[in-house]
Amino acid sequence: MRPAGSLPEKYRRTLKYSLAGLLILVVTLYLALPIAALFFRTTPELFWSSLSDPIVISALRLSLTTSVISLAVVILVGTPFAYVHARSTYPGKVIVDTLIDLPLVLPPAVAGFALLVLYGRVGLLGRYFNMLGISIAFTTLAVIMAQIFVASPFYLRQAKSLFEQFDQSYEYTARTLGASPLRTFMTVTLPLTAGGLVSGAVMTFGRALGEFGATIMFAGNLPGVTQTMPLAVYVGMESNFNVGLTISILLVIISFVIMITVRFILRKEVLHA
Amino acid sequence: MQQTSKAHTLILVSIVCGLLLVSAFIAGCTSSTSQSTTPAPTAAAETTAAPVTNTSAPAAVETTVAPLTTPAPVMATSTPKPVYTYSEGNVVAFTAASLSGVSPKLAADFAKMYPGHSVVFNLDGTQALRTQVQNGAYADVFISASNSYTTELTKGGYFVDGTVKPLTSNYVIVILPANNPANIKSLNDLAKPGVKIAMEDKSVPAGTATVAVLANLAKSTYSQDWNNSVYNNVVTYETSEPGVASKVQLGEVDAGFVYESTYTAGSSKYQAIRIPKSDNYLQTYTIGLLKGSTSKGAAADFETFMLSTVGQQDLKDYGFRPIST
Amino acid sequence: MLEAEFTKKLRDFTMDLSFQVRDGEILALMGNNGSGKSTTLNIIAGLMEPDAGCIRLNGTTLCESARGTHMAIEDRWIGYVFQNAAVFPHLSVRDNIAYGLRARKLPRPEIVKRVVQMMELMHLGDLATVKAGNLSGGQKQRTALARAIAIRPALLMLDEPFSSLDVESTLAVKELTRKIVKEMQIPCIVVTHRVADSNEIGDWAMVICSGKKEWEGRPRDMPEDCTVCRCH
Repeated sequence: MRPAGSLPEKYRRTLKYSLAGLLILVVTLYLALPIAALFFRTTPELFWSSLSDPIVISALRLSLTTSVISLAVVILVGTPFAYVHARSTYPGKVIVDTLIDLPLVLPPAVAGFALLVLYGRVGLLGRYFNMLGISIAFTTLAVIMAQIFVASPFYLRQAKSLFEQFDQSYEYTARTLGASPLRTFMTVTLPLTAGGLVSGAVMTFGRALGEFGATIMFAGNLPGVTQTMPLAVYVGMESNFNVGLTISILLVIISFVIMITVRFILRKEVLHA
Repeated sequence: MQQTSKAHTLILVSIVCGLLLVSAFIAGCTSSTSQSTTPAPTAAAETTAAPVTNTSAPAAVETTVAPLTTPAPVMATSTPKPVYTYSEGNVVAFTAASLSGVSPKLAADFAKMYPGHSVVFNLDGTQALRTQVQNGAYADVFISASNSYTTELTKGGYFVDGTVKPLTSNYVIVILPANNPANIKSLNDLAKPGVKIAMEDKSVPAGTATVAVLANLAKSTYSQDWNNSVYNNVVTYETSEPGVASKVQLGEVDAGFVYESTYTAGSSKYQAIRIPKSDNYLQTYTIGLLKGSTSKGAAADFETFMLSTVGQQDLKDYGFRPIST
Repeated sequence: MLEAEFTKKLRDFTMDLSFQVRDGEILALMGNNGSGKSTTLNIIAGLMEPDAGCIRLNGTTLCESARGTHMAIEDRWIGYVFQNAAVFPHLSVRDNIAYGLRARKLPRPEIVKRVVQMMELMHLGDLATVKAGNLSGGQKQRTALARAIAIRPALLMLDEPFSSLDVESTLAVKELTRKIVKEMQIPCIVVTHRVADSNEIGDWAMVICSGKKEWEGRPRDMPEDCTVCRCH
């Protein structure tokens, strides 16, 4: 017997579904509408013609190159680091753990400033590099270093967590069967954690691609050398609106394509796991 | 009462969801984050603080954006606007960043001349301020470093008729780090190979001024080769004038092009090479009242103050040149 | 023959064991959860180091604390099947079984021969290309056993092999284990907590409690009130 006065079941269900639908709609629209607005602001002709603008081309090439290199460095150095970190205990491990997370909460401009103070021409370390004739600030190398600094936590945290949670009986079994630690890692641990590592890599790449504050502080803004796509958008918004818009759209498309590709690749893995 | 408690819960949930919806809408439409770029009287004097604030505008937004939704700079187009609470006697002045050094003095003298009034400066590149106003940011007064942006806003109908007046002017100067690491003694030395120069991007008024200055110098004194060599030595096109100043101050570049006012405000930090008046580019600043202002009285008082002998003297003390009448 | 004698300080107690397992003999190692059974296997396998003691297999010293010798895990030629079988889910049955052979760099024809042999022995023939992650519990155990045996180990250790198996698979695994151990004449340790299992598979039984030997003897001679209940 229903308590008198409460809503009938039918209306309650409708209300529940409506509220749920409303929430989903609000979140989806909030994320999708700004991106859609980008596309509506231009025309296909304007977009295609802007693509051949030298600023667009050089920014595109620079961004993709630097982001790929940054990602490669993060993966090649970060994967063994995360593994060793996950498998060992050493004094100060907690500090290292915190440091890995630091770039996530540090404002990018502060990160860029710190890099400049350290590696700049008159920086704490930079002055020695300068004496050897190596300049770091205002070069493409600085772009890569800035990207690595701000984007590496995305991969390191993911890798570290994956390795920590990995069922070590697989590794032990492989060892007793005769596999060296390296062989074990390459043939057992890595294939079984690949899915998570790839998603970490995707986030890292996206963050590196969109990096702005640290780049402009540490690397400066020079077309073809340090003017990545985000910088070109910011500058373009004031002086050449179409170029800025085109690059923004390009960034969205690239991000989208990467996400979809990765999800597609991982789908097959998930099905078989 | 027992029977209506379930209905009450449902109604409560709907109200909360509705409020969330509304606030999300408002947040989305006005996109006002309460990140203060520069509270003028305190931080403005530091040229080193300025570049952090200028570039932290897009950057702070960026930290919270997941990289795959929107690239940071798109949100920076409508740069985060400080939210000011305004009262009758308070003036919100959107002001070109090159007035950072003099703004504390101006604020103090304004309050002295008009007891009960006060002014808050929003200091940023004129191009960024223009975009903010165009996107609905609130301001009482607009001080522009560039005639083209002033014209743009006038054409857009943002100014109150008859209130746009020339305010002051500024020349371009070359600054060097205090210890002059590249040993630059003259403008000619700027073309020496290996010299690192910082200048503003052409979207910034100081940038167009510099471009004009370099063209003038090439035509009158040095050659086109000199002009090309100087551009080859440029390592960064900063997005704001304080950005150039800070890179010079840090010693990370050998020379930078800024306004004379910037140099005067921090002369202990730099050496300088003056540019002959005949080749220089006189940047004229204008001041105007905005139609959207709700404290028009106080705003008009502020404009009067800025054009008065007190205001003009303050500007002169900080390296600005009086408007040639 | 396996000779094991060691001590190790653990969190709640100190282990102190000394026992032998002869060739062709299956030792049923029993005791409560946390009594140190798995630790014993881990120490013999080299995954853990004892505080003091000596492990010898067929005369070869695997580990001797006094002299500081500790043979690397991958050199010990021990077949160790973990509790959950730990078959590599991303590899096929065939690749699982071949894993140890490839790791030890056996020649290709030999690998193929042994894999086929193992699959026949364990009745895994038609599952050769199936990804191990898709196998049933019993099939996983048999694959793990095949994988461990393929390398012709000098010692076989199984940790709770029957815990997740049904009656039929349990019988199959028991039979196969006995057959292999008798044919290859290697020592074998089977960790189990069920008395019935130790009766069926063990030639010898040892009960440990808090890391120390509580009782040892023939499985059918095990006293009724012994083992699992008293160890708390």
